Amino acid sequence: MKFSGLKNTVATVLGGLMISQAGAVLAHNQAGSFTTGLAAGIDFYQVSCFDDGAGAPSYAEAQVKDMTANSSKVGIVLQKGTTPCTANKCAQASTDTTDTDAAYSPLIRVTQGSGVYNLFVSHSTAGTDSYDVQVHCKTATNVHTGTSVSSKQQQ
Amino acid sequence: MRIVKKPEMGIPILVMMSSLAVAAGNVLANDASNADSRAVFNSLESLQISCNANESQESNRELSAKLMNLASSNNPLDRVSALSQLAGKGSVDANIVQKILQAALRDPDSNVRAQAVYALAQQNCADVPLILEQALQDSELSVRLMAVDSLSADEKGASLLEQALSDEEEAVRELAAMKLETSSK
Repeated sequence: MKFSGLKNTVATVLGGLMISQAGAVLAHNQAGSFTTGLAAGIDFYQVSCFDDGAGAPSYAEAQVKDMTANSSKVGIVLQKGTTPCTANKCAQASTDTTDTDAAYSPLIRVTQGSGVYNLFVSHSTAGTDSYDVQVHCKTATNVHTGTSVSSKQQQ
Repeated sequence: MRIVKKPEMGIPILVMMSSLAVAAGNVLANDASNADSRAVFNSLESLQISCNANESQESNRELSAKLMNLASSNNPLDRVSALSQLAGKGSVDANIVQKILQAALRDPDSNVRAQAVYALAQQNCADVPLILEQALQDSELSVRLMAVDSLSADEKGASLLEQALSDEEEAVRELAAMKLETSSK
């Protein structure tokens, strides 16, 4: 699996810090691809949500863009299950079903506080799909807070 | 070199077969000092394509210009993006479709070539089965995977899918087997 940057290294993704008149926008993008082409390929990332001064994390949200037009569709599962999942879901899934446009899949949110969230990226069938995942940790008042992404498995 | 003449196209399509392409020096080798280097063979480099306008759609000038700009970018990701949007069968001028695809089949980036194969199969272009057959001979996994993905379940397509079952890469074999299984149902 090709990892844009250093493979299996912690990627503190602070790409795209853009300050505009509207205020600060933090973009956390994780690009990757399934270069083995196998349908069983799964890329696995861990997303750490922490208080960087903006406030305690309440939830993580993510969405994926399938950047390769073919039969195979790219999807994600965001999961954190350290507490009983009765009040809030421990996992959510999202798939980019239209890979011929520049739009991302529906945004998913898992509200499990601070700590490490698991992010799995898969594709529906064999193919050398490329993708871009946007992931953010936010406070209960939807303020962006500390987010770091670590690659654990590339297939 | 084989000359295929399509009467309805009015344009002769020159198809240089892979053996001649190899003889013409289309086997590219990386720096010999690099122990990991291996021969790269772009099976599509010498193909000439011809695409027809879709009469049921009026071309969108804005979209055509946008895709042309993206396809001319120095960034391979932009070029892939142009081709993936082209695969969406948007109303793009046939001449621009042909220009973009022709250049993309010769692109040094295998991901661009792979996306070109898929986009071409979605367009109203001539000799798609022949081009896919050529793409199956490419040295790059991504190109061969896209060729298998683009094959239809007709007699010619099924024959090429059978051929892909003996590809050296498991992913290509896996996709070909899945497509054959699906088409047999």
